[in-house]
Amino acid sequence: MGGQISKMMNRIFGSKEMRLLMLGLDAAGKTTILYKLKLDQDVTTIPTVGFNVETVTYKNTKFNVWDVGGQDKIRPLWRHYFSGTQGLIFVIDSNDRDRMDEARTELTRIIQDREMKDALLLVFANKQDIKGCMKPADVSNALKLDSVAKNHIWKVEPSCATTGEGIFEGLAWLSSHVKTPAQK
Amino acid sequence: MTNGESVGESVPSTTASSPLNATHPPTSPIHGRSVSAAQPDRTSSDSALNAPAGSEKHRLSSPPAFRDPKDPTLAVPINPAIAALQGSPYNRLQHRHTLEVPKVNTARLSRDSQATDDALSTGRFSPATPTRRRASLTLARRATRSIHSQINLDEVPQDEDALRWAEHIRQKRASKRKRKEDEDDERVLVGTRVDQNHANFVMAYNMLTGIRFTVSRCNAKVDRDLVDSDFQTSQKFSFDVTGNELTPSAKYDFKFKDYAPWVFRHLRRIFKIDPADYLMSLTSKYILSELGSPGKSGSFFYFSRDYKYIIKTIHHAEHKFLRKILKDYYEHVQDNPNTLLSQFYGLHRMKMPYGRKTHFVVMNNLFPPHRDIHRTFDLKGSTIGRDFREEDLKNNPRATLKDLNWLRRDLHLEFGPTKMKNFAEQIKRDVALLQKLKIMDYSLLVGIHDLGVGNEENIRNKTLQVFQPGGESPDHDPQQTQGLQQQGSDPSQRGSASLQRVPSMLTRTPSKMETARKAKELRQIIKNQKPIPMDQTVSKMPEEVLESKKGFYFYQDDGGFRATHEDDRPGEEIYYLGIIDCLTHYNMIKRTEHFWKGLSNPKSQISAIPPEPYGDRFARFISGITKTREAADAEKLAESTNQQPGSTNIPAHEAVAHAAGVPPQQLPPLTNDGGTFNANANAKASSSSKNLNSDDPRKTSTTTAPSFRSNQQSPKTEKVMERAEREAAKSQRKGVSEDDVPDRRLGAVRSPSAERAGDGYAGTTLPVVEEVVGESSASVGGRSAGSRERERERERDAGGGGTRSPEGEAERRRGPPPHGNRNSTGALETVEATPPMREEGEMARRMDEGFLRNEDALGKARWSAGSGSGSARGRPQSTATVEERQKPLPAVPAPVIAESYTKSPSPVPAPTRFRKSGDFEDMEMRVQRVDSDSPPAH
Repeated sequence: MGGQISKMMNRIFGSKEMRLLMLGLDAAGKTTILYKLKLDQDVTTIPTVGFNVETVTYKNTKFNVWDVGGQDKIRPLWRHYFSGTQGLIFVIDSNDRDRMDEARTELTRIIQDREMKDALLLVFANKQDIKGCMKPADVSNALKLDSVAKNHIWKVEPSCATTGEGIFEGLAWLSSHVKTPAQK
Repeated sequence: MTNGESVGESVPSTTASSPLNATHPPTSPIHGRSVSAAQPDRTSSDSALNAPAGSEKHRLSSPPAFRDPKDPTLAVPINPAIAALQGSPYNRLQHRHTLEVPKVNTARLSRDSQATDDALSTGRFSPATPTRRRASLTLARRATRSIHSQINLDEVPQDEDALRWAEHIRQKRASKRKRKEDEDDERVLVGTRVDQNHANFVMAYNMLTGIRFTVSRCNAKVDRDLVDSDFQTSQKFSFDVTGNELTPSAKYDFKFKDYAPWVFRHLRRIFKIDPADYLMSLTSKYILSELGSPGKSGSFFYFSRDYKYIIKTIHHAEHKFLRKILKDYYEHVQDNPNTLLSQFYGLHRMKMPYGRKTHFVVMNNLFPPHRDIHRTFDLKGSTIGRDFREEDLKNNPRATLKDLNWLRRDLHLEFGPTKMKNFAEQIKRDVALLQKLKIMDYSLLVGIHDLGVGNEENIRNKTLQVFQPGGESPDHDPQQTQGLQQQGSDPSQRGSASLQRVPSMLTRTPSKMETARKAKELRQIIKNQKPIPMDQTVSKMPEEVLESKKGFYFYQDDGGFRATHEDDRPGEEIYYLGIIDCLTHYNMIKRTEHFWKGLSNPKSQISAIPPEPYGDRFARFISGITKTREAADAEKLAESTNQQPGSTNIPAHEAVAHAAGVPPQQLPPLTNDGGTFNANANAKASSSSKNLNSDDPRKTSTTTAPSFRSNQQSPKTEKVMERAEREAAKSQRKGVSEDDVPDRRLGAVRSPSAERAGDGYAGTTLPVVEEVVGESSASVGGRSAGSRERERERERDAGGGGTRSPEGEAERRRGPPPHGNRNSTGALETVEATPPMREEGEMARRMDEGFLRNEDALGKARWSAGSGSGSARGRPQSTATVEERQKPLPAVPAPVIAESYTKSPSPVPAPTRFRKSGDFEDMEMRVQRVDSDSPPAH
């Protein structure tokens, strides 16, 4: 009952909840982004075996962000986090040109999953502070988002996890594009 | 048209009075069938009563068959009321407002507008209570007269109404009934049609989801040192379809509790388990063991996909105990990474809605994924109740055998000096911990892989089943869909089982209908996810060595611990060892068990004894059975030499040294003369590992032991001595005389097989029979040397002994043995001697077992001798016993032996040990011969 009321209040006052899943190849910067969001700090991270989950409120939207480790070995576990996800944040190491194909393969696999078909797709072209990295447009081309994500609403957002640049912009985009849940 | 049937039911009474029926033969698709079947003649006779007769109230009150409005036959108005009814449904609708019997009209409306089913099924248009119905009838009678009285036949429409009413009610009731039946059907579907494995499927799914979640959660964090509170912490999570801020969505609702995550994280690290591997192995697929049913402890077992881990449900008491000892365990493991104790990787609890709490641990699987385990033993060091009935073995050749089976087979953990030392040392340390923690009832699990046999039998693929609780993998979906379609073709299946999943809207809780639908789909999925045998899946067991276990001393050789010879050369077997079930605290229950069992059994031999002696006994037993094959052989040789009349007693250690120095093949050939025991040892050595018919030179030596005891100090002998002493004590209590009986009797029973030595291949023994001997001679361990000697004398008199097959073998070498008539007579003597003994009830349980069998066979023999037919059915059990003896052994062990011994460097390769099943025909003959020999004694 209390939950109902608070949901109602949220609806009235425009507060939203959004469940986000943050995936990407290993060492793309997912955990760093997460803790930048949460703590506004540049934390030292270890390769994530498993997941981190944090809730961040930004612009009246409560983001429930799941950061799941991207090591090759545990990528098959990603699918267990798909269900209920409204937005996918796919983090790309913009400087890692060699693994763009790998990233594309993984991304394709994710967004073609039935559970993900309604999810928004936000691609962080991360590590933009490195000189000579790929620009957002290059990333989008490399990932062939036009074809891969043609059934999704997507955006490539340049970001730098260590400085926090672009991250909140990405969240803002997500929150503005999230579908309002079906009423009743 | 689910109501078709119920309509039909109501029809017979209907047709009788209906004026329509004459003109409207049962053509209506709805009720035609039953009408035609039930009342062909009455319809015609009723047509005479065509004119509505007010006098026949009861008839008129029964409803007429109702018509399909589209039926052309109805185009002809039968009477004005019907015509009005047919022609103007909307008129009737209007009547609804004027009439004071709204239900009548609505009923009619629904009939006319073809909405019957909907209306009825919703129940909105149906009368709810009988009182209403009565009211409506009375009202209708009055009202219809006033309103429908275009003609005088006001009775008719009134009747119509009533009829319809009655019908509706019947329909309503019938549909209700039907619905109930449907529900019942569905319940059955869940309860029985979906078998046990599926019930566990949800449990397994939940377990793995929980494990994945909790392990992932803990492992993502930066490592840190443990603090004391880590040993006590626990975290609780609840999972549901939508997921929440903490948990991802799961298919089912359940609660999950994770205990001491950090401790287990560290434990996993100590055990060198890669977290990513751990997650992947555990959460993608489950293997159900052959042992789908709970074991003695009531625990369920699941194996991880790669067969590396076991999930075992444990009792709450065990759970609490593990939490209590966790710190000690952790410290022990830290100090002894090579521990043989179970390796615990996680402790969790799961609870499903309305379900019980399930505690479970994740442990290491001792057995390798890439090697067949040919024999499994669970050794505790006690003897009471530690016997797996050999006759059950043929039903379940993969069963875990116990101490007595081990002894009977005269097996050893064949470790050379280096391994033996380390092994004993580790056992000592582990046992010390267990003693300290007051744990008992643990056992050493020994899985033996015979390299000579390898994986040829493909055991793993035959005995294991796989299923995928995750189930969301794309390759899995077609299967589900197919299954659903199959279901859809089932008429009872309502079409709502839609295959398409509605995109999940996260923030909204699913409506009731949605939940119901999901539940239905789920049931389908579960139904379709039958675990499939391993050999039918594409996913096979890995064939390569596991890397991760390599770092551990006792799991270094292909995940196990390979046998070595006296000179540390690798042996022919790989042992997979570990101390398991080490969560039994010596608590009140066990104390009671100790007391209770101690009443009827020697206290030293029951399983439930206090931790200290338990550990000592355990360690002693284990070290007692640890010896190289050479040592064992040499020992046997020594023993048998000792027992030869007039021979000098060679101390066992000398013999061992001797054997160690000399390659087995060069061991001096065994003497034939007087060598019954020598031959025994010989045969024994050759069969040393797992022949079923481990007849008992060793035990023989034991029984004669007292005189030689001082000379034989090897651990095995010690152990056997111990047992002998025990038995001696027992027999002293109970009188020595009975102890003589079994042995004599047994010898007699088996003597015919020795006779057959003449045919050149005989002398081999029938396993079951010999087992019996083994048991009983073990039990007669306490017999004095003198009595034993007397007995042997007698046997020799009786025709060169030949009570045991090896002896027979020896005889064969000597030449054709004398005929065994006297042996048979001996058998009869025994038979006579037996019953009183049993009446006195003075046999240990397991002895009893053996004797029973034996006696049964004899009884059978006697019986059939009396009846003059060997194949006649005697007492049921005895027949079974005899038959069983005639049956070949479980197919597996025999080839194992054959294989291993052609390769093994045992002193004498003994192909004669390996019996073909054909030999069992001889057995039958033998039994019959006993029969035929019997009568004279009677």
